[in-house]
Amino acid sequence: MISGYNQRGISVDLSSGKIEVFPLPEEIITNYLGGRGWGAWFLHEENQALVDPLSSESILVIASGGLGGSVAPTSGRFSIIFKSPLTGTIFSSNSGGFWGHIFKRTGYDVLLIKGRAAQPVYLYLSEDKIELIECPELWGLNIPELTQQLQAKYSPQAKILGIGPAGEKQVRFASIMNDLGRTAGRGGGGAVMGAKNLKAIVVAGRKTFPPFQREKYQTGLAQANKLIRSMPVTSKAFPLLGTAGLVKLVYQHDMLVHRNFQDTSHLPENIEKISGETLRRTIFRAPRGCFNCRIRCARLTQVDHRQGEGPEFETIAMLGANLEIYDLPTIARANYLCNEYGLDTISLGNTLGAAMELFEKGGLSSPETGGLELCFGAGHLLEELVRLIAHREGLGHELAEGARRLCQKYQAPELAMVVKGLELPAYDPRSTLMQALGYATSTRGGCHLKGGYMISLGFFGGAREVDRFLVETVADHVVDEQDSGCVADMLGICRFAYFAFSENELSRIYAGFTGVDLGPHDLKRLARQVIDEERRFNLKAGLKASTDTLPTRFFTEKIKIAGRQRAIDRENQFAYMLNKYYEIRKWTNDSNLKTNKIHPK
Amino acid sequence: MASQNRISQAKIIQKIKAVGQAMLALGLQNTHSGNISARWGKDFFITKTGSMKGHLEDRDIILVGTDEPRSGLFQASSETGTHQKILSFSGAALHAHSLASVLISYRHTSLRPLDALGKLYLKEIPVIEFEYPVGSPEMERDIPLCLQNHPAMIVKTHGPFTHGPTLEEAFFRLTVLDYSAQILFWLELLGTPLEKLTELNYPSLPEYETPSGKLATQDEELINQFRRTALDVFYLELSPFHTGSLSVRNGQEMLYSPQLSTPHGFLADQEIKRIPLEPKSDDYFIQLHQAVYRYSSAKAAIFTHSPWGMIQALHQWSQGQNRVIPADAEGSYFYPAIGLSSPSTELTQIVELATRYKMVILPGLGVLAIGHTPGYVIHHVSSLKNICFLLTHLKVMQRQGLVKNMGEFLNKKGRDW
Repeated sequence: MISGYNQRGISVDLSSGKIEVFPLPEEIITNYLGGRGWGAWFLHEENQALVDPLSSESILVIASGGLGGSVAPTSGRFSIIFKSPLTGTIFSSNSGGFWGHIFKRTGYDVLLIKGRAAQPVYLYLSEDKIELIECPELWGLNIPELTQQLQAKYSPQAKILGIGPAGEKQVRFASIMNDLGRTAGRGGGGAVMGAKNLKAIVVAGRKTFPPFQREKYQTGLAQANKLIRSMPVTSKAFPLLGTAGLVKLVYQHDMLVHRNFQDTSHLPENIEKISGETLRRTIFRAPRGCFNCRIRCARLTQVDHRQGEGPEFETIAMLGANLEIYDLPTIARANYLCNEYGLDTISLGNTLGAAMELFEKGGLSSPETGGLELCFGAGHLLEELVRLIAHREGLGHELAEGARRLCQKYQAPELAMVVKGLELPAYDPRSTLMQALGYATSTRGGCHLKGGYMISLGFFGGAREVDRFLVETVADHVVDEQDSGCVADMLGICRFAYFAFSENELSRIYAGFTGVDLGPHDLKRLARQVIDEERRFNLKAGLKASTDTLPTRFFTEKIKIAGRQRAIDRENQFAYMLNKYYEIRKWTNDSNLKTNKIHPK
Repeated sequence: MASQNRISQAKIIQKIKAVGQAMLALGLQNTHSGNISARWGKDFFITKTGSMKGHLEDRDIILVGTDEPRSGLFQASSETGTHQKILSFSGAALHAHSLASVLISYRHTSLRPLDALGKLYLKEIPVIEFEYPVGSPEMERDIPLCLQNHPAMIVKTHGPFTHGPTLEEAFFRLTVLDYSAQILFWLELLGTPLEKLTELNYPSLPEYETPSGKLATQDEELINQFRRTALDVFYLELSPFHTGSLSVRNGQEMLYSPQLSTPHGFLADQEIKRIPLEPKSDDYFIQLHQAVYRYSSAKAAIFTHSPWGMIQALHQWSQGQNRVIPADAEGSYFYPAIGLSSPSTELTQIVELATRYKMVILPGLGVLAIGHTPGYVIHHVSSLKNICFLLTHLKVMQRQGLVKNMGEFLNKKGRDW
């Protein structure tokens, strides 16, 4: 018997309304642990590689982490896994807040959503009730309105996950929101929910999970908490400045994107206007944290009379620095709208950057933009553009398709700053070769997190820091960080907690909680299998190894970084690192995995 | 604190790098541990977490706010909170892993120095025990409180924190602390009856001052001689940072360098003064050098605080001995014996003993060596280090039964030299 798990899941077929509870085999628990791992397994089992993500054949997997239900620091995260309508890859997107913790306490570990409802519905889930409820009256509501109505009906303690108008309109980068301001942001999960006519999932649960070995569990927790309290990143930087504190740091490393990744050059006074320090002095009202999190990196802010969460670093960078909009209130207002409509701010900022470059270079003309002068620095247009995209109106309809499709349509694919169709986030890969390799190899496309969050090793990794322009040995670091990230996603732990602790502490906590004794190396081994599984899915979905690359701009356009003009040398740097990466993962560069076993253990 | 604020950003970064290299050279930390901070206006610089202190680059030294948080916190050391609070009342702070201090912390609730430097500059150094002795909120609360009343403290099983108005003074205190801890640790290990050392009276010593860099001579050869000597004194650990003194006679005056022990990065601050042999100075160390030239024909003199010399001298003194007799061939060849004299002895007698033995050890205070040139006199004090290091370890070997009788190794001529 494994402790800490419910060992069962629910399958909901929205087409038929059929709800089934199914046992979760022990082998699946111990090989895939939870979260992202289970997602990879279920999507494989359900043969999802070739389905249209926005069709009734697609499934959405919502899975608690292996440490869900525990009191491990930051363990409230859960994953939503689907085939992405944006990238066509497998896509694991995770979120914090409290929803995931309460979901686990309803008595289920995983939820499979299949089919498509004839009418808008929402799902209610508690320890003694599972119910699908038609809700045409909720369709069209934004996230605060939806949350308010459902909590008024059930209880203020009920946790709400749902989509806003952007998901309903199947914007390809619509996010799934929970607890008002938390988001499974990337990859268009909101569009998948919208395509299924599923507006929300309400959870209310109180089940508790006694640990298998209390002493082991508690000593692991004590050590992890001690490290979080002692590391400045987790005890001071994030709590005091939020992720916005990274703005200056990333800028100082010539990494902060600018004008659709044309360069990383900003005036220092402009950076000051959007820095975490300025945010703290001006619009900041209070810190916000997820379940059992001491880091509390989220910001409650206020602009005029509106309050909301954010902006986070990525939002400031992508809607601000990238678009030359150096005004925090403007960025925050757009961010509030994104949270209300359910939009991924990274893809949004990246897509707008592509549109602005297209416009300035003549690829998009004024009639096509509906008369909008879509220039960099056009902060006055930002809120209107968000509205247009979320509702797919006018130019918003094209922007809602994301940067790749937009640029393809206007015959300038080279202006799409995407990998595998996923819009790149705020770090220019020319500034850290590890990040370049991470973007290229991430199984969900151009993502800093699934790519390994290499900037942390690049300039705030402490003794683990790796030179940003190193080529030799880089692939090993990237593989290792990607694997660690996958462990965090499987266990439902925040990536930021890794600034304080690692698999050493997690393996002890997990063993104490569940009785499954996996060492740090075992956790990474399982993570590597999950990444293999995701790769296998992508290959089956038709992706080729040739998609393990970066936009041409990064190979051909030199920009000044760390005192020198630099681009990534495609042959001598990138190809070398990539081949090493394949060698380490035992992948071949003709797109095949050497191993085809599903359960290599 | 004010003086720390006046210096430029580039200068303060250069000094932090120099302290990092110096700390590594003395083994006060491992390659990555410890941290160094210095106030700069409203903000402060601190070494980046996990940075290699012996090889700090500009990017490893980050700016953090004392009042308002700044993005530098993402890279800051795990002890940043503690430094931040210390720097609200001080100009610079250091945290090191001085092994001697850690050893003392295992069995003492405070370090009470036996030597003159420690007694004067540090007095009593508290040892504080923490449940979580690395980067914990309790440390952040209690260490600054402690340091408001003390120049230094030791975190039990972890290492010391020191502070001062300048980086130099904070580092000076750190090296004196390590020095005092080494002396106490080894004396306890040798089984020295410490109560017999309480009768030692030390003269009044001058307050610490950061050297001004003023040179009272343009003679580059002489300046280079002084600088070489200063480096050797520091790197051979013949005297804590900015302690010791060197002089050469020049007619009825001497060229004199105080605060001699200097690592790379601080040589530009080294001072050379021109001091007449009369009248007698108020500064004890200047008096000592003046006395050398008044009462001997020596052309050069050096005074260092020699940790190994102090360990051996204090041990011998507690046994009622008045000399140190070498047990190694090289030491015996040059120095059949080295005289000991109470630190409160008249200067004339001290110089007389130095003339007879080439150097004289004042237990707990230091060693005076005299001769013809700076190179000649530093040879004496560096030899003393080896002689006393070997004697001390030989004694431990004897206590462990590894050698039967260390007396058989002592220079036979030394007993009545």
